[in-house]
Amino acid sequence: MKTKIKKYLDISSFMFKKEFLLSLLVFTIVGFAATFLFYKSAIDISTKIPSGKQEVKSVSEKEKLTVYIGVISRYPPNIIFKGYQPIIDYLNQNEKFQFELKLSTSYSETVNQLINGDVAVAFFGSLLYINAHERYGIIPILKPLNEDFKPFFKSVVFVKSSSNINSIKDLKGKRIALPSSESFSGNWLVKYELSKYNILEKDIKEIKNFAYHQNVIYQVLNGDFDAGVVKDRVIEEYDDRKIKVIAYSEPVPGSPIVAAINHDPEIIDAIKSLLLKIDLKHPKYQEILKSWDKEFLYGFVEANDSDYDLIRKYSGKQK
Amino acid sequence: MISIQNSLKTRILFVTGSVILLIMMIISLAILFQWRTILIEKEVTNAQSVVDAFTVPALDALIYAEQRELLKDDLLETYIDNYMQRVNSIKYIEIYDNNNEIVAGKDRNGSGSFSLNLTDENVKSGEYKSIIYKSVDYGWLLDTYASLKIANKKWGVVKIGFDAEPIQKEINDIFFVLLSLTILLSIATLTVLFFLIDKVTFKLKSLVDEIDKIDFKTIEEITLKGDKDEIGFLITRFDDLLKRLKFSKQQLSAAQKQVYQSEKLASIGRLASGVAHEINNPLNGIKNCLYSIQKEPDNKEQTTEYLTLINDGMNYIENVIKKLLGFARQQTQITDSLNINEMIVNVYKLLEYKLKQKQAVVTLNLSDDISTISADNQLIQEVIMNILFNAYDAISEKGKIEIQSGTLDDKHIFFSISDNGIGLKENELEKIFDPFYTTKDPGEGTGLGLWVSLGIVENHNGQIEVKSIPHKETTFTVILPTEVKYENNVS
Repeated sequence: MKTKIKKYLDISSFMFKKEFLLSLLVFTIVGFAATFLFYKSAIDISTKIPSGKQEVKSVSEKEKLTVYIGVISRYPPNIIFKGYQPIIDYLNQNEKFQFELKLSTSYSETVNQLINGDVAVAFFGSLLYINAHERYGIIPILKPLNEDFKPFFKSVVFVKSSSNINSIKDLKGKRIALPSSESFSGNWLVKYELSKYNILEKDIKEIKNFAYHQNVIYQVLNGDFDAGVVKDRVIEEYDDRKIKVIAYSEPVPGSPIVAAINHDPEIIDAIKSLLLKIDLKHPKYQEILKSWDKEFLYGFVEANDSDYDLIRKYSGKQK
Repeated sequence: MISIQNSLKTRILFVTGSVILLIMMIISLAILFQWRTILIEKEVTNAQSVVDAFTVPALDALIYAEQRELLKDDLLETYIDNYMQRVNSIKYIEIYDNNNEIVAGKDRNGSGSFSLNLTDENVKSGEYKSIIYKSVDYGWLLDTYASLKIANKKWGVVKIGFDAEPIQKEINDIFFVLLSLTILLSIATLTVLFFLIDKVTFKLKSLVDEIDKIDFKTIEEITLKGDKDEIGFLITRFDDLLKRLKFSKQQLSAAQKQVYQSEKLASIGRLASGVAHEINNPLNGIKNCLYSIQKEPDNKEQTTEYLTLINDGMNYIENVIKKLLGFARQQTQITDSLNINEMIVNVYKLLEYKLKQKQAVVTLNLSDDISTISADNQLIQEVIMNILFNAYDAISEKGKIEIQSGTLDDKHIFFSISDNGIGLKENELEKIFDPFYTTKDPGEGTGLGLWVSLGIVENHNGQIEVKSIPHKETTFTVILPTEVKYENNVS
């Protein structure tokens, strides 16, 4: 019996020995192969290149007539694109015209673009408008609403929050930075407001105009100028811990969208219909307007030339 | 000795080792690939941030150049130069216009060429997805794209190639760290496991050693004391098993004694008629002598002669009764220097009368120079009695029985009882040693004779061989060692 068991054990152990060694060998080979494959797979960090698929412009986009819209150079070009291009994208919902922005290097260049027909309409400044209207018969189409849904804006006089200037009367002997001389903000303080405090232009140490409203703010923040004047919409973008507003102008009509006298009524209608139907109660429009320039966040109303009489009063060009 | 491959330790180590290694590998791979994904995603995100940051001056440059009708490529290349100086991981920067044509670019290799991917599928596709690939010039590269656009106004695409070699190197390092960790942890786990299993198998081996030491004569409790674990439980149970075995053995021994005694009594019963005859003859003689003495009380010569005869008869009866009592005696013991021939003759004499009744021709062919043996006299006589009774039962009137004895080798003697009776068929040969198997008529045999005989012989470390040619010759050969070492004490 014992012998039988021993024989059986011998046979089974021989078989097991073979199986054991074989499985050990297979296990080792598989282990090495798997490790090598995983290594190759892990260090191959390449990603798939997407298959070539041409970006195709929609047919309607191709067929639409390109119409340029000008913008006065009140802000640096990149800021203008960021704030105004979304408006252009919104306007491109129309089926006939493909609108595109055309920037300029100066306010007068935009006026020229308009009268030359390079742009069909343009975003203007109020003061620029009354001058251009007078000279070229340019007409206002729309004007923006402010947060009170009124078509006005204000110019503001600001200083650094650490400044000891607290009112306009403190500006005597100080340096003042202004935006374009062709803008309302670039004229209001020096030409109209200082006189109310019996301060003459010569009493101011230095007055300098800068191309953009943002430049004015930087000049004051850098300490190169003591005070500056910009549109209220621009000052809102800056931290009120660094800036202190010392005076507001009275509300003046908002910067209009204007057209040349020989404008294409179809283009004007397309622009007006789209911009006037903005309803801020509707979430869709709230979403669309989020990316627009802050000046246009509350929509537009139709503009008439007479709306700008207040500006004319300031400039002494009353009809 | 258990071979290494059959060892429980090896098997457990092999199986658990494989499982642990597999689990470790799966965990390591999961970590590796998760880490790899996070690393690549982080690098792609970083690259995207760098490209996005580049788009700001690039857009400004494009817008500025467009507005002032300047040569935008000059302006852009100035920006590109500045940017590449600040970000060392950038290998090249390319700027494409809306027609997917390169308007500006710079290659860190200094070739000044930006024709790396003039037909960039990624640019063409308009998907601008970051891609990682191996380039001939730079090795591993991460190409990241950003659209130069504001709202829906698009100026083109900027593509920046980042050095992706550090990503690959880091993944390579992680792989080897994880591989080393896997191997080290597996070795550590297997080592701990080895010692644990070693501890368990050591206890098992100790238990086996204890089992080997067990003397089945005495069956004593094992001395090994286990812990309160499974092995301890096993030791306790094994100890219990030994106690039960000891108890069963005692019961079996008692039962066997009863069976042997019963069988012996059955043999005595069968001897009774012969014994009665043996006693009856001298008794009649004694009675006749006494009658003659009573008849002639004064005949002193006759009385003396008859008293001598009576004495002889009484001695004969005493002798017969002694033999019977000797056979029926229950106490058994191993006695050295026993002569098997004497035992054979004793048994033969007890059965002589019965054999004569059947007129059996009995030949005793006993070897004179047979070795003495150490054996239990009573038990061996019982074996001889059982086999001789079977031969007696098997033969017909005037049948032949031959009893032989002799030396088999230095350590073994034998005796055999042959008869020319009916014999045994082949299928009967397999069963004759089974208890209660009998070919005799009911009431004539218990069926225990040969079973008991085999038990006795095997307990003397001997064996019984049977050869039978029915109606010709049947031989029972009992082989016994000259020296007996009891493994089981049947008495």
